[in-house]
Amino acid sequence: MLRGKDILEVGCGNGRLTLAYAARAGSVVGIEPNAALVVRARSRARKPGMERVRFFARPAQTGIRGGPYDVVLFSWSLC
Amino acid sequence: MVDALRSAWTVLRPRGVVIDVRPAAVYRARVAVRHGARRLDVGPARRDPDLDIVAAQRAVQRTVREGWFDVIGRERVPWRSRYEDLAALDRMLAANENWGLPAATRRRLARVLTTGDVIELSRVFSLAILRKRSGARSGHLTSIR
Repeated sequence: MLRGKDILEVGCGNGRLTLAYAARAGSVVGIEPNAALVVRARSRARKPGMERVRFFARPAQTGIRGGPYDVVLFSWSLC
Repeated sequence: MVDALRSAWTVLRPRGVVIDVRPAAVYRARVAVRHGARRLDVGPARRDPDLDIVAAQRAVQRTVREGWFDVIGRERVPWRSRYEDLAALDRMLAANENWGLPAATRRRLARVLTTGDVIELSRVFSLAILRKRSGARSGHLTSIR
């Protein structure tokens, strides 16, 4: 379901789940309101194969924009 | 969450999908101890319904009812969290006020736990897959285009 898809992940946290599927995706944008977690997610994504993964410190209320996406993934997100 | 789901609708391609993954609102959690290949059930953990999760699930149901999405899949997925010792489990319990360890479970856990054991907490996640409905099929959606 995620292979080759453009994905927006809402509430990506430290990117643990994101990086588990990102290699199969077409592109991934992860948003997370906690800026410290975004720093950790970016750090984790500094490796080959993760060039199409980007993380932004944004709340869901204003961060769900851009696209278009094939998939919006709410991962344990309470918004 | 309702607003976030409506925003998701606006950024999705036609027939795009929302995947919503979160702990199930209600389930019976169990504590076990794993020693190598051996797994010993210890007892129940207390987990009160998380009201934020209940609200989020209601938001999903509401957007489906309003015609933004169709439900194309729904599943409950078993999951085991692992903790290297009782202190690690206690840290998780302290950070989540709706969780607790009944006294009987704690006593038994302390009795059976030995060096090298891993504590397992059986949990359940809920997974919902929603497909974007086109605005043409639901008149009120055209106003946000």
